[in-house]
Amino acid sequence: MALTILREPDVGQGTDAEDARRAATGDREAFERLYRRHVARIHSLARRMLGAEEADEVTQDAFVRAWTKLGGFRGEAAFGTWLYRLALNVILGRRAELGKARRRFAAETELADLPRPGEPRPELRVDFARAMARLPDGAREVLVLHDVEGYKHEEIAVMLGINPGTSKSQLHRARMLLRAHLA
Amino acid sequence: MDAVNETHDRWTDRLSDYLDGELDAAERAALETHLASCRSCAVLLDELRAVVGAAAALEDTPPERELWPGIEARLSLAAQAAGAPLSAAPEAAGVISLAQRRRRFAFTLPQLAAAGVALVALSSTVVWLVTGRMSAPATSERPVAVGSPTGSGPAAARLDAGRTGSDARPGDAAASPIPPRGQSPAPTEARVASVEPPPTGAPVRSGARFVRAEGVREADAQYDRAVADLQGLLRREQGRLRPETVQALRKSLADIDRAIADARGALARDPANMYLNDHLAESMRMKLQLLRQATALAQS
Repeated sequence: MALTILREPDVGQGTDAEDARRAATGDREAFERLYRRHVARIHSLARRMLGAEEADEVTQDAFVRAWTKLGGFRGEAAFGTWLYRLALNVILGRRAELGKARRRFAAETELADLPRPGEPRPELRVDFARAMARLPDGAREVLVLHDVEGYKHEEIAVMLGINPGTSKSQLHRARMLLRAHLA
Repeated sequence: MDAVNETHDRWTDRLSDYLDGELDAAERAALETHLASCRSCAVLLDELRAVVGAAAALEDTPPERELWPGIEARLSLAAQAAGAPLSAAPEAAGVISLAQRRRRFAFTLPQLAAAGVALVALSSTVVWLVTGRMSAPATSERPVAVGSPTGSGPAAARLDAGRTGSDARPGDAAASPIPPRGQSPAPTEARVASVEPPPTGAPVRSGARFVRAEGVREADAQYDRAVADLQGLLRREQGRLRPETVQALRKSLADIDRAIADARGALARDPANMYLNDHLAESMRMKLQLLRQATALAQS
Protein backbone atom coordinates (compact mmCIF):
# COMPACT_ATOMS: atom_id res chain seq x y z
CA MET A 1 0.00 0.00 0.00
CA ALA A 2 1.45 3.32 -0.99
CA LEU A 3 0.56 5.86 1.61
CA THR A 4 0.58 9.52 0.90
CA ILE A 5 2.09 11.40 3.76
CA LEU A 6 0.81 14.93 3.63
CA ARG A 7 2.12 16.14 6.94
CA GLU A 8 5.84 15.98 7.14
CA PRO A 9 7.58 16.34 10.46
CA ASP A 10 8.93 19.82 10.68
CA VAL A 11 11.74 19.28 13.10
CA GLY A 12 15.40 18.87 12.53
CA GLN A 13 15.40 17.15 9.18
CA GLY A 14 18.73 18.69 8.41
CA THR A 15 20.50 16.50 10.94
CA ASP A 16 18.25 13.48 10.85
CA ALA A 17 20.09 11.70 8.07
CA GLU A 18 23.43 11.91 9.85
CA ASP A 19 21.98 10.85 13.17
CA ALA A 20 20.13 7.98 11.53
CA ARG A 21 23.37 6.82 9.96
CA ARG A 22 25.15 7.00 13.29
CA ALA A 23 22.30 5.30 15.13
CA ALA A 24 22.34 2.46 12.65
CA THR A 25 25.89 1.68 13.80
CA GLY A 26 24.77 1.53 17.41
CA ASP A 27 25.19 5.15 18.46
CA ARG A 28 22.64 5.55 21.23
CA GLU A 29 23.21 9.27 21.60
CA ALA A 30 22.40 9.83 17.96
CA PHE A 31 19.27 7.75 18.34
CA GLU A 32 18.26 9.74 21.38
CA ARG A 33 18.59 12.94 19.37
CA LEU A 34 16.27 11.46 16.78
CA TYR A 35 13.88 10.51 19.53
CA ARG A 36 13.91 14.04 20.95
CA ARG A 37 13.18 15.57 17.60
CA HIS A 38 10.31 13.26 16.68
CA VAL A 39 8.72 12.05 19.86
CA ALA A 40 6.06 14.75 19.94
CA ARG A 41 4.91 13.84 16.45
CA ILE A 42 4.77 10.12 17.11
CA HIS A 43 3.26 10.42 20.56
CA SER A 44 0.58 12.79 19.32
CA LEU A 45 -0.36 10.38 16.57
CA ALA A 46 -0.50 7.48 19.02
CA ARG A 47 -2.48 9.49 21.55
CA ARG A 48 -5.05 10.60 19.02
CA MET A 49 -5.45 7.20 17.48
CA LEU A 50 -5.41 5.01 20.57
CA GLY A 51 -5.94 7.31 23.51
CA ALA A 52 -3.65 8.57 26.23
CA GLU A 53 -3.56 5.25 28.06
CA GLU A 54 -1.85 3.48 25.22
CA ALA A 55 0.17 6.33 23.80
CA ASP A 56 3.27 6.10 25.98
CA GLU A 57 3.75 2.41 25.51
CA VAL A 58 3.07 2.45 21.81
CA THR A 59 5.44 5.36 21.33
CA GLN A 60 8.17 3.39 23.09
CA ASP A 61 7.35 0.39 20.96
CA ALA A 62 7.64 2.49 17.83
CA PHE A 63 11.06 3.86 18.73
CA VAL A 64 12.35 0.46 19.80
CA ARG A 65 11.09 -0.94 16.50
CA ALA A 66 12.76 1.93 14.68
CA TRP A 67 16.05 1.09 16.36
CA THR A 68 15.90 -2.44 15.04
CA LYS A 69 14.96 -1.32 11.57
CA LEU A 70 17.48 1.47 11.16
CA GLY A 71 19.62 -0.70 8.97
CA GLY A 72 16.82 -0.66 6.44
CA PHE A 73 16.58 3.11 6.33
CA ARG A 74 18.24 4.12 3.09
CA GLY A 75 17.57 7.81 3.25
CA GLU A 76 15.32 7.70 0.22
CA ALA A 77 12.61 9.44 2.21
CA ALA A 78 13.05 11.88 5.06
CA PHE A 79 13.78 10.08 8.30
CA GLY A 80 10.65 11.62 9.81
CA THR A 81 8.52 10.13 7.06
CA TRP A 82 10.14 6.75 7.45
CA LEU A 83 9.66 6.86 11.21
CA TYR A 84 6.09 8.06 10.85
CA ARG A 85 5.18 5.16 8.59
CA LEU A 86 6.81 2.71 10.90
CA ALA A 87 5.02 4.21 13.90
CA LEU A 88 1.69 4.17 12.12
CA ASN A 89 2.13 0.47 11.46
CA VAL A 90 2.89 -0.10 15.13
CA ILE A 91 -0.20 1.91 16.06
CA LEU A 92 -2.43 0.05 13.64
CA GLY A 93 -1.05 -3.22 14.95
CA ARG A 94 -1.90 -2.23 18.48
CA ARG A 95 -5.31 -1.06 17.34
CA ALA A 96 -5.95 -4.50 15.93
CA GLU A 97 -4.89 -6.08 19.22
CA LEU A 98 -7.18 -3.82 21.15
CA GLY A 99 -10.04 -4.15 18.73
CA LYS A 100 -11.74 -7.16 20.18
CA ALA A 101 -11.67 -5.84 23.70
CA ARG A 102 -12.78 -2.40 22.73
CA ARG A 103 -15.67 -3.57 20.63
CA ARG A 104 -17.16 -5.09 23.71
CA PHE A 105 -17.81 -1.64 25.02
CA ALA A 106 -20.39 -0.21 22.72
CA ALA A 107 -19.32 3.13 21.44
CA GLU A 108 -22.84 4.38 21.65
CA THR A 109 -22.58 4.81 25.38
CA GLU A 110 -19.89 7.37 24.80
CA LEU A 111 -22.19 9.36 22.61
CA ALA A 112 -24.36 10.12 25.58
CA ASP A 113 -21.64 12.33 26.96
CA LEU A 114 -21.36 14.39 23.84
CA PRO A 115 -23.64 17.36 23.18
CA ARG A 116 -26.41 17.08 20.66
CA PRO A 117 -27.10 19.67 18.04
CA GLY A 118 -29.16 22.41 19.57
CA GLU A 119 -28.13 21.48 23.07
CA PRO A 120 -25.17 23.67 23.86
CA ARG A 121 -23.35 22.50 26.94
CA PRO A 122 -20.74 25.10 27.75
CA GLU A 123 -19.14 22.89 30.37
CA LEU A 124 -18.21 20.50 27.61
CA ARG A 125 -16.50 23.11 25.49
CA VAL A 126 -13.23 21.84 26.61
CA ASP A 127 -10.30 21.97 24.34
CA PHE A 128 -10.73 20.35 21.00
CA ALA A 129 -8.18 17.63 21.54
CA ARG A 130 -9.88 16.37 24.65
CA ALA A 131 -13.24 16.40 22.92
CA MET A 132 -11.74 14.44 20.08
CA ALA A 133 -10.40 11.88 22.50
CA ARG A 134 -13.91 11.22 23.71
CA LEU A 135 -15.26 10.29 20.30
CA PRO A 136 -16.17 6.68 19.62
CA ASP A 137 -13.14 4.76 18.41
CA GLY A 138 -14.18 4.36 14.78
CA ALA A 139 -15.19 7.98 14.33
CA ARG A 140 -12.07 9.27 16.08
CA GLU A 141 -9.69 7.11 14.08
CA VAL A 142 -11.12 8.24 10.77
CA LEU A 143 -11.16 11.87 11.85
CA VAL A 144 -7.52 11.68 12.93
CA LEU A 145 -6.38 9.99 9.76
CA HIS A 146 -8.41 12.23 7.46
CA ASP A 147 -8.58 15.66 9.03
CA VAL A 148 -5.39 15.62 11.10
CA GLU A 149 -3.08 13.38 9.11
CA GLY A 150 -4.45 14.08 5.64
CA TYR A 151 -5.14 10.59 4.35
CA LYS A 152 -7.78 9.86 1.74
CA HIS A 153 -10.78 7.68 2.42
CA GLU A 154 -9.44 4.96 0.17
CA GLU A 155 -6.21 4.85 2.14
CA ILE A 156 -8.03 4.93 5.46
CA ALA A 157 -10.25 2.10 4.34
CA VAL A 158 -7.20 -0.08 3.71
CA MET A 159 -5.55 0.87 6.98
CA LEU A 160 -8.58 0.28 9.13
CA GLY A 161 -10.09 -2.62 7.24
CA ILE A 162 -13.32 -0.84 6.38
CA ASN A 163 -14.83 0.31 3.13
CA PRO A 164 -14.49 3.89 1.90
CA GLY A 165 -18.19 4.54 2.41
CA THR A 166 -17.88 3.66 6.07
CA SER A 167 -14.88 5.92 6.34
CA LYS A 168 -16.92 8.81 4.95
CA SER A 169 -19.86 8.23 7.23
CA GLN A 170 -17.63 7.89 10.28
CA LEU A 171 -15.89 11.12 9.39
CA HIS A 172 -19.16 12.98 9.09
CA ARG A 173 -20.33 11.50 12.34
CA ALA A 174 -17.17 12.63 14.11
CA ARG A 175 -17.45 16.14 12.76
CA MET A 176 -21.10 16.39 13.74
CA LEU A 177 -20.28 15.32 17.26
CA LEU A 178 -17.37 17.70 17.57
CA ARG A 179 -18.97 20.80 16.13
CA ALA A 180 -20.80 21.52 19.36
CA HIS A 181 -17.44 21.93 21.08
CA LEU A 182 -16.63 24.80 18.84
CA ALA A 183 -20.04 26.49 19.02
CA MET B 1 -41.46 13.82 8.19
CA ASP B 2 -42.41 16.15 5.37
CA ALA B 3 -40.68 16.43 2.05
CA VAL B 4 -38.82 19.60 3.02
CA ASN B 5 -37.23 17.93 6.03
CA GLU B 6 -36.34 14.86 4.05
CA THR B 7 -34.51 17.00 1.54
CA HIS B 8 -32.82 18.90 4.34
CA ASP B 9 -31.61 15.72 6.04
CA ARG B 10 -30.40 14.31 2.78
CA TRP B 11 -28.19 17.32 2.24
CA THR B 12 -27.10 17.50 5.84
CA ASP B 13 -25.57 14.07 5.47
CA ARG B 14 -23.64 15.20 2.43
CA LEU B 15 -22.10 18.32 3.90
CA SER B 16 -18.86 16.62 4.83
CA ASP B 17 -18.56 15.18 1.34
CA TYR B 18 -19.14 18.65 0.01
CA LEU B 19 -16.42 20.11 2.19
CA ASP B 20 -13.99 17.40 1.11
CA GLY B 21 -14.74 17.78 -2.57
CA GLU B 22 -16.22 14.30 -2.76
CA LEU B 23 -19.39 15.29 -4.66
CA ASP B 24 -19.68 15.22 -8.40
CA ALA B 25 -20.54 18.40 -10.26
CA ALA B 26 -24.30 17.79 -10.37
CA GLU B 27 -24.53 17.00 -6.66
CA ARG B 28 -22.40 19.96 -5.81
CA ALA B 29 -24.60 22.33 -7.79
CA ALA B 30 -27.75 20.92 -6.22
CA LEU B 31 -26.34 21.27 -2.71
CA GLU B 32 -25.25 24.82 -3.30
CA THR B 33 -28.75 25.62 -4.47
CA HIS B 34 -30.10 24.13 -1.27
CA LEU B 35 -27.62 26.04 0.86
CA ALA B 36 -28.73 29.30 -0.62
CA SER B 37 -32.23 28.73 0.72
CA CYS B 38 -31.53 26.79 3.94
CA ARG B 39 -29.98 28.78 6.74
CA SER B 40 -29.63 25.83 9.13
CA CYS B 41 -27.63 23.86 6.57
CA ALA B 42 -25.46 26.87 5.90
CA VAL B 43 -24.80 27.28 9.62
CA LEU B 44 -24.05 23.60 9.96
CA LEU B 45 -21.65 23.77 7.06
CA ASP B 46 -19.76 26.57 8.78
CA GLU B 47 -19.57 24.55 11.96
CA LEU B 48 -18.23 21.51 10.16
CA ARG B 49 -15.71 23.70 8.40
CA ALA B 50 -14.60 24.96 11.80
CA VAL B 51 -14.11 21.39 12.98
CA VAL B 52 -11.98 20.58 9.96
CA GLY B 53 -9.93 23.69 10.58
CA ALA B 54 -9.47 22.89 14.26
CA ALA B 55 -8.37 19.35 13.50
CA ALA B 56 -5.83 20.50 10.95
CA ALA B 57 -4.49 23.08 13.38
CA LEU B 58 -3.85 20.64 16.19
CA GLU B 59 -0.30 20.88 17.36
CA ASP B 60 1.88 17.98 18.30
CA THR B 61 2.79 17.83 21.94
CA PRO B 62 5.40 15.68 23.65
CA PRO B 63 4.40 13.04 26.18
CA GLU B 64 3.85 14.22 29.72
CA ARG B 65 6.40 11.82 31.11
CA GLU B 66 9.88 11.10 29.89
CA LEU B 67 9.84 7.98 27.75
CA TRP B 68 13.48 7.78 26.73
CA PRO B 69 14.77 5.93 29.82
CA GLY B 70 12.25 3.19 29.19
CA ILE B 71 13.28 2.92 25.56
CA GLU B 72 16.95 2.89 26.41
CA ALA B 73 16.41 0.27 29.08
CA ARG B 74 14.71 -1.97 26.59
CA LEU B 75 17.53 -1.54 24.13
CA SER B 76 20.05 -2.40 26.83
CA LEU B 77 18.04 -5.31 28.11
CA ALA B 78 17.72 -6.80 24.67
CA ALA B 79 21.38 -6.20 23.95
CA GLN B 80 22.36 -7.99 27.13
CA ALA B 81 19.96 -10.82 26.44
CA ALA B 82 21.45 -11.17 22.99
CA GLY B 83 24.93 -11.13 24.41
CA ALA B 84 25.80 -8.09 22.37
CA PRO B 85 27.76 -5.15 23.73
CA LEU B 86 25.64 -2.14 24.65
CA SER B 87 26.97 -0.22 21.72
CA ALA B 88 26.22 -2.96 19.27
CA ALA B 89 24.42 -2.18 16.07
CA PRO B 90 20.64 -2.44 16.46
CA GLU B 91 20.24 -5.65 14.52
CA ALA B 92 22.88 -7.34 16.60
CA ALA B 93 21.15 -6.24 19.75
CA GLY B 94 18.09 -8.21 18.80
CA VAL B 95 15.63 -5.73 20.25
CA ILE B 96 11.97 -6.65 20.21
CA SER B 97 8.98 -4.41 20.70
CA LEU B 98 7.12 -4.36 23.94
CA ALA B 99 4.09 -5.86 22.31
CA GLN B 100 6.29 -8.49 20.76
CA ARG B 101 8.08 -8.86 24.03
CA ARG B 102 4.83 -9.55 25.80
CA ARG B 103 4.10 -12.28 23.37
CA ARG B 104 7.67 -13.41 23.37
CA PHE B 105 7.84 -13.30 27.13
CA ALA B 106 4.80 -15.49 27.35
CA PHE B 107 6.46 -17.69 24.83
CA THR B 108 9.94 -17.56 26.22
CA LEU B 109 9.16 -18.43 29.79
CA PRO B 110 7.75 -21.80 28.90
CA GLN B 111 10.91 -22.26 26.93
CA LEU B 112 12.84 -21.37 29.99
CA ALA B 113 10.68 -23.71 31.96
CA ALA B 114 11.56 -26.38 29.48
CA ALA B 115 15.17 -25.40 29.88
CA GLY B 116 14.73 -25.76 33.61
CA VAL B 117 13.30 -29.19 33.11
CA ALA B 118 16.21 -29.97 30.88
CA LEU B 119 18.53 -28.81 33.60
CA VAL B 120 16.80 -31.07 36.06
CA ALA B 121 17.05 -33.94 33.66
CA LEU B 122 20.66 -33.16 32.97
CA SER B 123 21.33 -32.84 36.64
CA SER B 124 19.69 -36.15 37.38
CA THR B 125 21.62 -37.76 34.61
CA VAL B 126 24.90 -36.37 35.81
CA VAL B 127 24.13 -37.35 39.37
CA TRP B 128 23.34 -40.84 38.24
CA LEU B 129 26.53 -41.02 36.25
CA VAL B 130 28.60 -39.58 39.01
CA THR B 131 27.13 -41.49 41.88
CA GLY B 132 27.07 -44.65 39.88
CA ARG B 133 30.68 -44.49 38.78
CA MET B 134 32.48 -42.61 41.47
CA SER B 135 32.71 -42.71 45.16
CA ALA B 136 32.50 -39.30 46.76
CA PRO B 137 35.59 -38.18 48.62
CA ALA B 138 34.93 -37.39 52.19
CA THR B 139 35.19 -33.71 52.96
CA SER B 140 33.45 -31.19 55.07
CA GLU B 141 34.33 -28.34 52.79
CA ARG B 142 31.63 -27.27 50.47
CA PRO B 143 32.62 -26.40 46.94
CA VAL B 144 30.73 -23.81 45.02
CA ALA B 145 30.38 -22.48 41.55
CA VAL B 146 29.25 -18.90 41.43
CA GLY B 147 27.96 -17.59 38.17
CA SER B 148 28.25 -14.07 36.92
CA PRO B 149 24.90 -12.32 37.29
CA THR B 150 25.02 -11.00 33.81
CA GLY B 151 26.10 -14.23 32.30
CA SER B 152 28.48 -12.51 29.99
CA GLY B 153 30.29 -15.71 29.39
CA PRO B 154 29.67 -19.35 29.95
CA ALA B 155 29.85 -19.97 33.64
CA ALA B 156 31.79 -16.78 33.90
CA ALA B 157 32.83 -17.37 37.46
CA ARG B 158 33.07 -21.07 37.75
CA LEU B 159 35.16 -22.81 40.27
CA ASP B 160 38.78 -22.25 39.53
CA ALA B 161 39.69 -25.84 39.23
CA GLY B 162 43.36 -26.57 39.17
CA ARG B 163 44.49 -23.00 39.83
CA THR B 164 46.59 -21.98 42.69
CA GLY B 165 45.97 -18.97 44.83
CA SER B 166 48.41 -16.89 42.85
CA ASP B 167 46.81 -17.48 39.48
CA ALA B 168 43.22 -17.35 40.56
CA ARG B 169 42.28 -14.83 37.86
CA PRO B 170 41.89 -11.58 39.74
CA GLY B 171 41.20 -9.91 36.43
CA ASP B 172 38.13 -11.96 35.69
CA ALA B 173 35.82 -9.77 37.68
CA ALA B 174 37.32 -6.62 36.21
CA ALA B 175 36.86 -7.94 32.70
CA SER B 176 33.20 -8.51 33.36
CA PRO B 177 30.71 -5.94 32.04
CA ILE B 178 29.26 -5.74 35.53
CA PRO B 179 29.92 -2.31 37.01
CA PRO B 180 32.18 -2.21 40.02
CA ARG B 181 30.50 -2.58 43.32
CA GLY B 182 28.82 0.51 44.58
CA GLN B 183 28.78 2.28 41.25
CA SER B 184 25.49 0.98 40.04
CA PRO B 185 22.55 3.36 40.48
CA ALA B 186 20.03 0.92 41.87
CA PRO B 187 20.67 -0.76 45.19
CA THR B 188 19.48 -4.07 43.88
CA GLU B 189 21.61 -3.68 40.82
CA ALA B 190 24.57 -2.88 43.01
CA ARG B 191 23.88 -5.91 45.13
CA VAL B 192 23.54 -8.17 42.15
CA ALA B 193 26.55 -6.66 40.49
CA SER B 194 28.57 -7.37 43.58
CA VAL B 195 28.13 -11.06 43.18
CA GLU B 196 31.48 -12.32 42.07
CA PRO B 197 33.69 -15.31 42.40
CA PRO B 198 35.22 -16.14 45.73
CA PRO B 199 37.97 -13.75 46.80
CA THR B 200 40.89 -14.04 44.49
CA GLY B 201 43.29 -14.37 47.36
CA ALA B 202 41.43 -17.27 48.82
CA PRO B 203 43.60 -20.29 49.16
CA VAL B 204 42.75 -22.95 46.70
CA ARG B 205 43.60 -26.50 47.30
CA SER B 206 44.81 -27.17 43.83
CA GLY B 207 44.68 -30.88 44.01
CA ALA B 208 41.20 -30.97 45.38
CA ARG B 209 39.75 -28.43 42.92
CA PHE B 210 37.74 -26.50 45.40
CA VAL B 211 38.21 -23.37 47.37
CA ARG B 212 38.28 -22.94 51.07
CA ALA B 213 34.94 -22.98 52.79
CA GLU B 214 35.29 -19.44 54.09
CA GLY B 215 35.53 -17.88 50.66
CA VAL B 216 32.83 -20.16 49.40
CA ARG B 217 30.44 -19.14 52.13
CA GLU B 218 31.01 -15.47 51.38
CA ALA B 219 30.37 -15.95 47.66
CA ASP B 220 27.32 -18.02 48.44
CA ALA B 221 26.02 -15.33 50.74
CA GLN B 222 26.48 -12.66 48.09
CA TYR B 223 24.64 -14.74 45.57
CA ASP B 224 21.84 -15.48 47.99
CA ARG B 225 21.47 -11.79 48.85
CA ALA B 226 21.29 -10.86 45.18
CA VAL B 227 18.65 -13.48 44.53
CA ALA B 228 16.70 -12.42 47.60
CA ASP B 229 16.81 -8.78 46.52
CA LEU B 230 15.56 -9.61 43.06
CA GLN B 231 12.86 -11.91 44.35
CA GLY B 232 11.69 -9.24 46.76
CA LEU B 233 11.63 -6.70 43.99
CA LEU B 234 9.75 -9.09 41.77
CA ARG B 235 7.18 -9.80 44.46
CA ARG B 236 6.50 -6.08 44.74
CA GLU B 237 6.32 -5.52 41.00
CA GLN B 238 4.76 -8.72 39.77
CA GLY B 239 1.33 -7.13 39.67
CA ARG B 240 2.47 -5.40 36.52
CA LEU B 241 3.01 -8.69 34.76
CA ARG B 242 0.24 -10.78 33.33
CA PRO B 243 -0.94 -13.60 35.59
CA GLU B 244 0.04 -16.26 33.10
CA THR B 245 3.48 -14.72 32.88
CA VAL B 246 3.86 -14.79 36.64
CA GLN B 247 2.72 -18.39 36.67
CA ALA B 248 5.20 -19.38 33.99
CA LEU B 249 7.91 -17.46 35.78
CA ARG B 250 7.23 -19.30 39.03
CA LYS B 251 7.35 -22.63 37.29
CA SER B 252 10.63 -21.78 35.60
CA LEU B 253 12.17 -20.65 38.84
CA ALA B 254 10.96 -23.79 40.57
CA ASP B 255 12.52 -25.91 37.84
CA ILE B 256 15.79 -24.05 38.07
CA ASP B 257 15.75 -24.32 41.86
CA ARG B 258 15.32 -28.05 41.56
CA ALA B 259 18.26 -28.19 39.17
CA ILE B 260 20.37 -26.19 41.61
CA ALA B 261 19.35 -28.41 44.49
CA ASP B 262 20.13 -31.53 42.50
CA ALA B 263 23.53 -30.20 41.53
CA ARG B 264 24.35 -29.20 45.08
CA GLY B 265 23.25 -32.57 46.36
CA ALA B 266 25.46 -34.30 43.86
CA LEU B 267 28.37 -32.00 44.64
CA ALA B 268 28.07 -32.86 48.30
CA ARG B 269 28.92 -36.38 47.28
CA ASP B 270 31.47 -35.46 44.65
CA PRO B 271 32.88 -32.00 45.40
CA ALA B 272 35.62 -32.14 42.80
CA ASN B 273 33.43 -32.98 39.86
CA MET B 274 33.90 -30.34 37.18
CA TYR B 275 30.74 -31.21 35.33
CA LEU B 276 28.67 -30.67 38.40
CA ASN B 277 30.42 -27.41 39.16
CA ASP B 278 29.75 -26.10 35.70
CA HIS B 279 26.19 -27.30 35.81
CA LEU B 280 25.58 -25.62 39.14
CA ALA B 281 27.19 -22.41 37.95
CA GLU B 282 25.04 -22.39 34.84
CA SER B 283 21.88 -23.06 36.83
CA MET B 284 22.64 -20.27 39.27
CA ARG B 285 23.50 -17.89 36.49
CA MET B 286 20.29 -18.80 34.75
CA LYS B 287 18.25 -18.06 37.83
CA LEU B 288 19.82 -14.67 38.28
CA GLN B 289 19.38 -13.82 34.65
CA LEU B 290 15.74 -14.84 34.68
CA LEU B 291 15.07 -12.81 37.80
CA ARG B 292 16.82 -9.79 36.39
CA GLN B 293 14.89 -10.00 33.14
CA ALA B 294 11.59 -10.42 34.94
CA THR B 295 12.15 -7.51 37.28
CA ALA B 296 13.33 -5.32 34.43
CA LEU B 297 10.20 -6.19 32.51
CA ALA B 298 7.97 -5.51 35.47
CA GLN B 299 9.60 -2.15 36.03
CA SER B 300 9.70 -1.03 32.43
